[in-house]
Amino acid sequence: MDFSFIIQQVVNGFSLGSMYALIAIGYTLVYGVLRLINFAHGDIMMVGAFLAFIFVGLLTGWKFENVTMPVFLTAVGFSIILTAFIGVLTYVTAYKPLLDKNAPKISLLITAIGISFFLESLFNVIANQYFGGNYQSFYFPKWFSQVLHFGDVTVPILTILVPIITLLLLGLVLFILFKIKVGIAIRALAFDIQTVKLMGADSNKIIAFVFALGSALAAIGGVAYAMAYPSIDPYMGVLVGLKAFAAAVVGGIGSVTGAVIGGFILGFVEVAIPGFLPELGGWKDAFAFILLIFVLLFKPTGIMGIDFERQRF
Amino acid sequence: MKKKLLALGLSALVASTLMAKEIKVGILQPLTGPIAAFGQKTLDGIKLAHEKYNKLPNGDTIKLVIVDNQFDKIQTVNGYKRLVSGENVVAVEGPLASSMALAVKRFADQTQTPTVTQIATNPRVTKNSKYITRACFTDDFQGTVAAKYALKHGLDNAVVVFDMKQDYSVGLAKAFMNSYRKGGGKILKTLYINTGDKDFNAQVAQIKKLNPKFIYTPIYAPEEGLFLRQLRAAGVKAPVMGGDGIADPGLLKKLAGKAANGVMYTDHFDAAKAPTPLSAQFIKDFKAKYGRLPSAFAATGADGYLLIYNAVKQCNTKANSENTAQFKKCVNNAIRHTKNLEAVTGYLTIDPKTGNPVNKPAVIEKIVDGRTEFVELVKP
Repeated sequence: MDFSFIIQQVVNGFSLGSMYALIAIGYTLVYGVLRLINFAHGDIMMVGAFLAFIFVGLLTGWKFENVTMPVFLTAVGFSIILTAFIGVLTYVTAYKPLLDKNAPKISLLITAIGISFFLESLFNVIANQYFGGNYQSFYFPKWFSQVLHFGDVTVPILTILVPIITLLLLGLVLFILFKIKVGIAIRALAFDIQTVKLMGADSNKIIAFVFALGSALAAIGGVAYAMAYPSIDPYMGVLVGLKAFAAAVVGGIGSVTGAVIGGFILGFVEVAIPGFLPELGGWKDAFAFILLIFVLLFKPTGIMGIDFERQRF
Repeated sequence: MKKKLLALGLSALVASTLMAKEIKVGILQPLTGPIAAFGQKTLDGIKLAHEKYNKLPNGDTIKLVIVDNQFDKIQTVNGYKRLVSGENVVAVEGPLASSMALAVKRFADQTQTPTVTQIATNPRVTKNSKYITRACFTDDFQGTVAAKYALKHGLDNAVVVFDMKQDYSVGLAKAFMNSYRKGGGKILKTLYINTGDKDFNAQVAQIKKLNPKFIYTPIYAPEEGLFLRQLRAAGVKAPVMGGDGIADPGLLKKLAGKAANGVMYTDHFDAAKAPTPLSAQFIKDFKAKYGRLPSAFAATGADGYLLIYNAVKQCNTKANSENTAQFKKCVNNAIRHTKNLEAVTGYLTIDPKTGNPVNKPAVIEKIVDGRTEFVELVKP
């Protein structure tokens, strides 16, 4: 167990953790505003990855191997925008009517599960109908597969890039929440929707923005995940979504910084278990959730535990 | 009065000659879900066989009732019940995949419905069951074939990677290890994965450290593809072999790219080696209809159907058609006593006691430059 091995595991943990973090932010934002656990969020991440795959195909004339950097970035850009739009669409078509009728929270939760199944099945049909099977190889420019050497430690560029992007996006989200009007409105909404409405603010627009922001981040997470493990399928969001949800809870649901911290912790656990205790490699998913239970036993509100009556995000 | 009787008799006669009956056979396969590709290929084979062999000697026809089980145990059981009690089928073909076949086993015996699982290879599927019959070899044989092949080529130490969540994978790993140890091979380590895993770097790191001569991976193709990619990226060059669960060269190539080259697997059928005249005709018709060669899934799908068709042909008497339970019993008995039935993967003879075919050979296939190549045919 030499030093370089440990560094290697730390780097891998950071990278995996960032992807969970990107998705966890979406859970936390929506929960903070609506008190809704948006179980379809993992599938939104799948939608992001799949749309990037489809756009790469469209832009290269279905010759996926020829993907170049500008084409790839354009495809990812389109995917982020469209995914954000789909996120807003789920809110407008499914959640908003329920909220307007003051439906109980449990109905929203069941709706979220329904949307999750809908998205999975939709892309199942698309994948089988147009791409000849559920599992598709995800193509991206060769540049991302480069490997950097630091002594004994080998680091794929992607492994460094993803955490950097995650931290930048975290900065962006915090900036939006604390410095920009719409962010302040989101925080106000999280305190008390009724009062915000009384003040004449359009709560629907703000909530729609929250869904767009969360979905866009999930799309980026999905693309990163698809690049790290270059295969996509309509069910890829299920387990990742569940883990990102666990990350959000571990970090303290409702807190954006907490979501990122939770994501990193979960990533580390998942890399460290098979790395240091290879015998237990097959049980790494179980450990991720044992960690969740363990943290909640000692700190029921999560690490960045928020007292919900006083503070948001 | 006389007139009335005559009319009645006449109408009955007309009804019996004009309205040749439809006899329903249920098809329960994963047409959507993670292994939809396997189910669709199977269905292609079944449909082609049904097109050619749907007429019964007395003019009745066989009608397929197709149900999707989504590779999900609950859907499988529900679908099975629907076929048996809702549609009143005389027999069911499916489900593909051992874990799903095990899920319907109890219901097959309870409802006394002859069930032919054409490609579920786990030995437990037919064990102690009177109504599930298998149309393919078992994992015990498949594992032995792989072990013997490895030992014959001097690959005398191995790492086994298997999927804890799949009955098929666990059973096949066990069969391989038993046979491999008996033959003098050494198992360096068994490593676990889970269905749906995408990161195998931990397992690959272990394999790299152990440096085995042979790697046996009785898992399914979606995991195998990414496993191969990560294995070869880490510089491990040892030969890799799997069972029929990875027999999807297109998917392996898609997921693993160049890393798919050199991987071997045991399979039921190779379209380049037609074992019977019927098989040769089937391959020709299949190519004409679908524009490609039949896979092992299509071939075994057709075999399962032919087993049922042959049995229904024998049992389709007037007395039986009025009594479904009796009909089903007869069909089951006929399936279990099939002898030398000419089918697509060879001649089928079922052992009435175990419900398994006897003397079913396996082929070993290898992916070379993205194409599948025939390595050898192994007989029990």
